[in-house]
Amino acid sequence: MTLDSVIPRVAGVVAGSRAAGVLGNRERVLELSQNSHAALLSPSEPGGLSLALRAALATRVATLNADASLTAHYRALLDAAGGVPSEVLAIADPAHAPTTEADRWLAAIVAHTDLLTVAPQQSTKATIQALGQAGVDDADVVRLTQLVGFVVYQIRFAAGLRLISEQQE
Amino acid sequence: MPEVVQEFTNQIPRWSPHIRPIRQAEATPLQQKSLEVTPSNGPISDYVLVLAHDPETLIHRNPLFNEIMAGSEGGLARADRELGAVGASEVNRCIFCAAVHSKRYIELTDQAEVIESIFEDSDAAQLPPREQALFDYAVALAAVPPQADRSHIEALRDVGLTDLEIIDLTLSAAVFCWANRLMETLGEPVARTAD
Repeated sequence: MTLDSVIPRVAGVVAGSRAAGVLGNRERVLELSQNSHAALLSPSEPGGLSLALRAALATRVATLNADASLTAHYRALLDAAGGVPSEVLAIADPAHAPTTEADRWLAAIVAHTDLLTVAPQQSTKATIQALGQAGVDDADVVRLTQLVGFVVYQIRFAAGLRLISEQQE
Repeated sequence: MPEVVQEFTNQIPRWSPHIRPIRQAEATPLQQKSLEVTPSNGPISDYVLVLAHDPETLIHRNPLFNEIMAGSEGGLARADRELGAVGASEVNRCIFCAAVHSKRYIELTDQAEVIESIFEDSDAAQLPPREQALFDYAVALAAVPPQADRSHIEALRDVGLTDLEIIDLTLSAAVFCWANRLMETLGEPVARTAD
């Protein structure tokens, strides 16, 4: 039983509970979800998105989705990274966005993270072209989109587990 | 230039990428391996070839998607998982995902009127009780932040869903909140030109 993987942990699923019983039937989903977490947060080929940047962006996405326990998980991952530049640490907080003047590349990454999280339907061909013009290469656009998509998935999976657990009493 | 499809339809559009798909002939061994499993076991599409820019993720993502939508023995019926996918795609206005999965839903259930109502009235669609409970939960879960609460779970239990079925529905809506973000930002749906 993989209750120690990230999603059951942030959802507070404890052994012997109703949610744990359900997850016992969905081991493969849990395993592939955990593998996706590893591929996105600690990949062996991170491309232009450092591990610290990924943890900071994931913290930001979790915060925008008001998931306190997943935010804490990614915040801990970011804190564990060590030697993280202050501009990367700062973007974990959605209240902060770097200016284009300060760092064009990072500003583009952060703006696209926010758009992907809250209003993906507003992204157009011009949005993706603008990322390229800001120096974000094609593979990094795909990596970033997968990262945000995965965190958004993870938050909803955890939310469902919390909801069925609430009903237990 | 083909016209971008802006409205919901169950006629599947063509997907036109904004990022250059990798060339299969030049794929690295890991990229080749990541293409071995495709979503719903379809052909190797431009969509998959765009995602192959990040093979480390893709190698787990496609099997996860397939497990949630068509694997996972027992639990929620396949058609109901498609309804979860449609609910999320409606919230995120992913025209392409909504087309593919509404078509699949209709094929499995013969309930075209459910899809018509969703396309017509979006979140306010009036559906038969069981479909209503499933759709409303998927829609609430897809909101940012998620809005699903105890009342949605009670509604699902009232129409007979077990905990396992509720989690399968959760997973289909959740995996579409992910899929929609890939499909509607890395490319766009365009009208198919007559061949």
